[in-house]
Amino acid sequence: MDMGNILTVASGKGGCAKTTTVMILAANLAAQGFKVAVVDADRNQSFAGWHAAAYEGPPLTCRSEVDHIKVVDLAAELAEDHDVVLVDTAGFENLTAASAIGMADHVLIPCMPDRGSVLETMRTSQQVGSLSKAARRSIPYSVVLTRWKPRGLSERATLESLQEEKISPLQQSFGDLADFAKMSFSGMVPISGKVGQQASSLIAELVAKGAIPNTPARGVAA
Amino acid sequence: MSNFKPKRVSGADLAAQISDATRNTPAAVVTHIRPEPPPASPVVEAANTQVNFKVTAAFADLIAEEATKAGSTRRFFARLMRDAGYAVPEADVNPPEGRRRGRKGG
Ligand SMILES: Nc1ncnc2c1ncn2[C@@H]1O[C@H](COP(=O)(O)OP(=O)(O)OP(=O)(O)O)[C@@H](O)[C@H]1O
Ligand SMILES: [Mg+2]
Repeated sequence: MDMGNILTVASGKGGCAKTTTVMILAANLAAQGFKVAVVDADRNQSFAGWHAAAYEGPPLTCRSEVDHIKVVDLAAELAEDHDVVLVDTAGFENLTAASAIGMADHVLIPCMPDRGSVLETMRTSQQVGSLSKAARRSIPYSVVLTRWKPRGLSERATLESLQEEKISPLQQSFGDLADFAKMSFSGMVPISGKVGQQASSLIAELVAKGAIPNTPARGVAA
Repeated sequence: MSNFKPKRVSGADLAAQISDATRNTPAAVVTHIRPEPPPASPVVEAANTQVNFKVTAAFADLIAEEATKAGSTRRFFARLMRDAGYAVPEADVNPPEGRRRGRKGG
């Protein structure tokens, strides 16, 4: 059987919704029948802690690994029997995140509408480029806009700055919605409604880019 | 759309490949780049050295708050440094309980 895809969520910007993005994607992919594993590679263990204490939804495999060498071997092992392996990384440039980018089939960079977020998005995209060169293979990446208000001023400035850097974000963004923060307490990830729709169409875009397999090949995680 | 996935490299190989690109990148956990710390002395050394220093009031408050959570200021610093990869004596990380000066009886 074909290997599953490793999708690393990274940004040097702390608090730009990396973990939230992993939560949303993991639960929604699992709800669509994908066999999903998450590797929590952030020493703050916010995904793993949430998964253990609060998560209520379709089953996922969740493993923690912050070592920059072991994380690569773990993700490769999980990719053998999962459709998608999502890797959550820490919000500062560190070796483990660099490995997680270096091993990824696709890197997803969340970007909030503020200047710091834009700068870190650029820096992270350059880091993907230099790691891709070092690993001698192309590592595609996408930018997903998060906490996004459709007609906001800082949103417009963010888009302009990204365009100047020739970065075109994914069409689908995550809105600035209380539901995202709520699920961090309730453990219930929306798979329908506004958030669920945003997740589904983001997943469709990622599938079109080859970041996620077309169809689940393995059925849900045990 | 491309579903082409080259054979995956091992963690050790990838680390070697990207070592130049990550020359200045800090580890996520300091322990992993430090050489093995020397084993802490098995002999439990008595705490007989006083440490004190001046800090801003705001920092003092922060230390006090965290120290309360950790059990004591000594424990708080000891844990912090052990987590950062330093060889902190076990006696400072987990000091023997309840031997406070001025405790009556016993
Ligand atoms: N679309 C959104 N709308 C509203 N709140 C959001 C949204 N996305 C994330 N948040 C909130 O923003 C905060 C930070 O999100 P999150 O923990 O996912 O960021 P992170 O990038 O993983 O942070 P770190 O760098 O610390 O790991 C959380 O409180 C989360 O609930
Ligand atoms: Mg996080």
